[in-house]
This record gives sequence, C-alpha cells and structure tokens, in this order.
Amino acid sequence: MRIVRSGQLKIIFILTGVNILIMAALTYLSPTFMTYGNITAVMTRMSELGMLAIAETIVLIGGGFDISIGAVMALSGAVLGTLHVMGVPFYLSIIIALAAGIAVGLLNAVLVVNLRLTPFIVTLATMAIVRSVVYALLKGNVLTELPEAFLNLYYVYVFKLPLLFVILVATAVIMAIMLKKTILGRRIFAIGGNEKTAYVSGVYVKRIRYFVYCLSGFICALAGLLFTVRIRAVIPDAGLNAPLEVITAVLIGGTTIYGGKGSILGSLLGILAMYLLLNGFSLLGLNPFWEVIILGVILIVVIGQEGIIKSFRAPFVRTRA
Amino acid sequence: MISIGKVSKSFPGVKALDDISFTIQYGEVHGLVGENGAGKSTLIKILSGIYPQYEGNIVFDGSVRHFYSAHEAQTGGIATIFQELTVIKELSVAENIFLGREPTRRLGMLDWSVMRDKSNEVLQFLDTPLDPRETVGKLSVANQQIVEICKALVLNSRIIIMDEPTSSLTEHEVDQLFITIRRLKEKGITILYVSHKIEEIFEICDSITVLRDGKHIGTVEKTETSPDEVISMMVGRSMNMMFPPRSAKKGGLLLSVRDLSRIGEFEHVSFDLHEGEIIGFAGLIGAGRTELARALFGATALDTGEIGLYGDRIDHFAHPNDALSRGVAYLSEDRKGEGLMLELSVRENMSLPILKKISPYFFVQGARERELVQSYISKFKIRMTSIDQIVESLSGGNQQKVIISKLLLTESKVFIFDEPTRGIDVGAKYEIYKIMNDLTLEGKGIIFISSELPEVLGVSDRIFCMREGELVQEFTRDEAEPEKVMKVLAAGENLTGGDAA
Repeated sequence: MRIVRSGQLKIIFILTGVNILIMAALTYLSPTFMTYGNITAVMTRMSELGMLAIAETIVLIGGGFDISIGAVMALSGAVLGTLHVMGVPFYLSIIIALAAGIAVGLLNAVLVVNLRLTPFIVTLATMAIVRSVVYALLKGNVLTELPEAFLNLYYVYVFKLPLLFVILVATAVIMAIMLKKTILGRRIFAIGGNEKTAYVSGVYVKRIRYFVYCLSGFICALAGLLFTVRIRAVIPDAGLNAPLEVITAVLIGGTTIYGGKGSILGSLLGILAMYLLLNGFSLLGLNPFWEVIILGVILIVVIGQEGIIKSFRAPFVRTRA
Repeated sequence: MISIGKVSKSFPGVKALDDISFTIQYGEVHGLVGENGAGKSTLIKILSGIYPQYEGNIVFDGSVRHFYSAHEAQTGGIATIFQELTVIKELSVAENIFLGREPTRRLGMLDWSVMRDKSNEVLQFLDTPLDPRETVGKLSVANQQIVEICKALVLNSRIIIMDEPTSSLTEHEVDQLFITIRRLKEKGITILYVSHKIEEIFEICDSITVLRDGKHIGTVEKTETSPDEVISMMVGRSMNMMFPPRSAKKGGLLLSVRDLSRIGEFEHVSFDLHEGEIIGFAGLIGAGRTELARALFGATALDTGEIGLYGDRIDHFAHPNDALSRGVAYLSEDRKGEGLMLELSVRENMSLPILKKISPYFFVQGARERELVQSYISKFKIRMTSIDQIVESLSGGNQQKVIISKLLLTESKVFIFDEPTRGIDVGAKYEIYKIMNDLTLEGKGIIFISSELPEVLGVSDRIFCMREGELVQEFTRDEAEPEKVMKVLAAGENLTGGDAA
C-alpha cells in the first residue's frame, strides 16, 4: 500500500534519515537516551501534538488553514474538567468535550464557507475567542480534580507501548487510510488542489470543507483529552505554542500551505524530530527555550527551500508549456 | 538587422533549441510560429535575457550582444510583452509605464507632471485615449496590453517581442492591436510576433519563421508563401483538411433548452440538441456563451427557463453533480483555473468525477481506476511518463486531453466544450476535433463554444450566433459563410472597450 504520493517520497526518506541521525547522536551523547523509559516518555509526550499535526495536515491538504488547534485542545480539557466538577457523569462530560471541539470546527467552517472569509483570519479569531472561553471556564486556574481511573490511562500500556501513543498511531493510520484510500480523501485532495475544478467535477466542495474543519475540531478535542491524561490536570495555557510547533512540523513533513499536497506520515516524522530534539536538550542539560527559536529558524528554512526548489523547476516546465 | 546565429539551448533531458539561425530585418513585423514545444518560448526568453545561458550568438546593431538579465535586455532595446501581462493592477497607467525608472525631482520625489505628460504623449501616439491616472486593474486586457506597449516605447525599445498577444482579446480588440502594431512599424520599431494563429500571422507579418521540435524549419517572406505551406512546415505533414469530415447522423432529441435567462448575462435562450449533433456557439468574448454554459451545467443559478433532457422536463441543475449524474458534462474554457488540479497526478485528475461510480462502499477501487485511466491514455496517446505524473508537467495539448478523458469517463451523453482548443497546437487541435467527431458517431451531442470562427464553422452542424447575451441567429452548416456569420456577430455591437475581461 502506498502511504504517500510519489512526489513526497523524497521528503519522507530525508525525514526518516534526520530522525535516525538525531537518535544516533543522542545515543552517543547520552547514556540514558536509548532506554525503554526514555523512549516511551518521548512517545507519550508527542501524542497530543501528534494529534494536532494530523488535524492540521488534513485541513492544509484540503486547502484550508487552522490555527485554532491549540485553543480547541485546551477547550476540550476545560469543558471536561468543568463539567466533572459540576457533577455531570464522566462519560457524558467526555462526549460534550469532544462535541465542543466539533462545534468550534463547525463555527470555523461556517465562517470560511458561508461568509467566505480567509481561513487564517477566521481561525485566528476563533483561537482568541476559544482561549478566552477556556480562561473563563477555569477562571484562570489549574484544575486537578479528575477521576483517578481516567488519569490512570497514562499507565496503560498496549504491547509495551504507552496507550496515548497507541491512540496517536491508530488515529494516524485511520486518517491516512481515509485520505489515501477513500473517495472522501480524494475529494479533500481535490478541493485543496483546485477548488473550482473540483466543483465542476461534481464535488460538493462546501460539504467537504465542513467535514474537514469539524474533523479537525474533533481530533484536536481528542488531543485535549490525551493532554489532560498526560499532565494529570486541566490547565488554561494548554497548547499555547501549539500552532507554531505543529505547523512547523507539518510543513517540514512536506505538506504545503497551498493545499492538495501532504502526508500524515511526514507530519508525524516532523513532530518526532521535534520531540527528539527537545528530549536531547533536556538530557544534555541545555535550555529547552532554545527549541522554539530553532523551530522558527527551521520553519523559515523549510519554506525557503520550497521556493528554491520551485525556482529551479519553473523554467524547465515553462518551456514545455 | 538582428541575426540569430547557431543558437542552441538545452535543459536536462531536452534540447529545446537546436542550432537556430535566422535574421530579422529592422522595421519589419516578423512572425514566429511553431507548435507547442517547438522552442518559441525558449527563444523569446533568450532574447529577453531571462535565459542568459545558451550556445551561439545574437548579433544586433553590428555587434554580438549577450543579455544576462531581463533588465539588460530592456536597456539594450528589446522589450517583451508576455502572454501573461506583467502590469501591476493596483497602480495607475502612468505609474506602470514608468515602473522602475520613475522621473524624479530633488530629494527623490516623483515628478508626476513629467510622468503624466510623457504618458499622454505615448498614449496619443498609439491613439489610445486612456487617462494616465486610471488604475490599470480597471482596464480591459486589451488596454492593459497597450500600457505594456507604452512601457516599451518610453524605454525607447527598438524591438518589441509579443508573445501570443491576441490570446485573450476579442476580434474587435485584435483589429485595434493590429492598428497599433502598424503604427509601431511606421515608427521603425521591429516586432517579433509570436502566435499560434495562422490567419493573424498572415494578416500582420512581413516574414515568417517556423520552428519545429527546437529546429529552424525556415524563414519565408509572407508574399512568397501560403497558410497551407506554413502549417505544413509547422506540423511536418501536409494538412489539407483542417477539420475531419462530419459523418454522424442526427438522431433523437437529447437536450432542449427553453427561455433560459440569467440577469445581466444572457436572456431568453432556447435551442435543441440532438444525438450525433455538434452545435456551435459563435460570438465575441463577452457575448454570454460561457455564462450560458455554466448556468446550463448547474455551476451557477438560472433566473428563468427550463431544461428538458431525454424527454424529461427538469427545471435546472442545482449543482454540477446533478448535471454529471444525468449525463451532462462540461469542459471549462479555463484549463488551469477550472479544468485541472495542477499539482495532482493524471490519475487523480481523470478519475475525480467517477470516483463514486467505480467505488461501491467508500473505498476507491485502485485497480479499476488505473485500468480506466490507462485505457484513455492509450486511446488518445497522451504523452506522459506515468499515470502518477503531476499534470502540471504535461504540455497544453496533453493537459487538454486529460480533461477530455476525464469527461468521457463519465459516459455522459451531452458534452459542453467551452474553448477546448484554446492555446494548444495545430496537431492537438485536430485530434480534439476528431474526438468530438467520434463522440457524435456514438450518438452523443456536443455544444461547442469557440471564439475562433473558422473552427466553429468547420466543426459544427448548426451554428448559433450569440451577441450581448442573446441568440440572434441560427445557421446551418451549409449556410454559414464566415463573412455572413461575422457580420451577424459584430453587427450592432457596442463594445465598451471589452469590459467583459
């Protein structure tokens, strides 16, 4: 089964190479890196941003943009915690938390599709609104009053792998199959590739956009639940840096901001590289705040690279046009 | 004179130009023709400094000149007006004309009065009454082109290269452009006129150079050649018949359209389409033909009217998907904007409308998809390295064949082809006429929209003339003589500077 499209293969190879290189270097530099405890810790830690990266990849492939991802992640945790404190049955709280994510996705979709606003502006606005709702719900406090059984999911392992990571991988596989093997996935690529062409080819463009934003909201809400389990609390600042980190990783992974191109595998390899670096920093006693700076630089380099590659390619293509 | 001596240029895997030598006399309009991929664009780019690396030399003003950038070529006296205009739409006419070399006063302040006066001067010379203060984006494409020509004049260019200058102009605007070109010629400016359109070349050029597959086939004086000869030089085979003979028989009624209107675009349009029939819609750009086609197909909403399909009455299609599922397919005039997903593969482009049909349950049946796509690729001999190749890297003609295959895969009965041969070479055009012909032999009906009169007349069984949103006259194939049809199309026109663009 081809998981990625042929043009992406190179990026996947490069990223796999980069990951192996980082791991080799860290194994050499730090004796604790290649231990079961450390590796599973990295896996657990990358789970929620990995989920956000999946959501962002799908939205970008569909020619959209979503920077409300981190805020939605915080929202689902905040809704879950608040409802639990209010005495709502826990399973119902989970359902409502996930529904809250879908609701934000729906709002994004309405604004983008029906009011024809730019996705960047729309999700920038909803990001701010949702974040304020989170602060209001939590009154700015950290909430730790959650059922033990839920929090203890952190210690569940499936085939020696942490459950949170397994959920990430399962979501990634399902979504990759959705994108690559189903009609729906094809149509997402199609509207990202050229919305107008898709429309005159009979694709219900609006419906697909609705689906994509709602799916993103749902996956981000799920990420919020994973995050709550991981840090055993609901915090108002959850996912504050997520848009930068996630979009960087996704773009490094070969998804473009122009739509119609990208892969979930690439995005996750990008996230993995990021977390390996972060892990390395802490193992080697370096200041982790450097990570954000490095990310910013990488982002510019990656986008720059894309431009450079295009400028090489363009003259050749044009002569044959 | 400008002599191009033994110029060659290679790209990885392709020899785009192979030992080209010919000369252009000063003060003439020199036509450069050739099919797509013949090397015309490459040659233009070398002359205009965009490709600084090439073999051979270009002699100009008695010395070898080698331009290393577009800027150098411009200051050296060669201006190029590309098919995709390079005006900045947000700026005014004067600002565009003087872009990059604005006259300044002390402290680097712009000298607006000089800019305005000089702009007026060149505009007057070209007999185009444009206001230098007008924003360029508000002008018609034809006038934007004039702004580019003014730019070249202000630079004191001696040679102006025009790349497919008429591709988005109406017939009336083309005439205007030719007047402008003659004026430039009187002033002693040399023009290298690059075009697909043989009739135009013969109307405006003094001599003609033909390229084919990167080679120089010949340079001839217009008076010593004929269109047939030039076409056969271009395609390397004789093309006595530009259009395949029509042999399909008219069958039952497929589509009947009654009183369709969409306010501001077209009004009270009624016509019928039968099996085995090609009906042509002739008209100037902006006559409302594309708008009609899109509304008929369900891409935009109708205000009034009804559509009958295979004897059933339906009000209208609410979405393109309704039309496709009832066997009506539409080929857009805008190949890149609406026909293709450039970054996606040939396979994904072609199978998009039929995904549902070939996929029971949710999952795309990959093997079936490949088989279907492959069958059309072999049928139409679409040149590509793999069906997973990105569509952007195909030539225009092959891209168009991909779109047509996509439509044929839907097994529709009614096809609306809107400018299917725009911007593709003569050989590929003929193949598309042939595909249309074969479709009618299978009993399908085709609505054919084209702005090139010869092809509408050459391909259609009946011709509808559309003018200012109305169907004004119908001709049968035998009645339709070019002059008669053109007279109908252009009669009573009140073109307001071609604001349709």
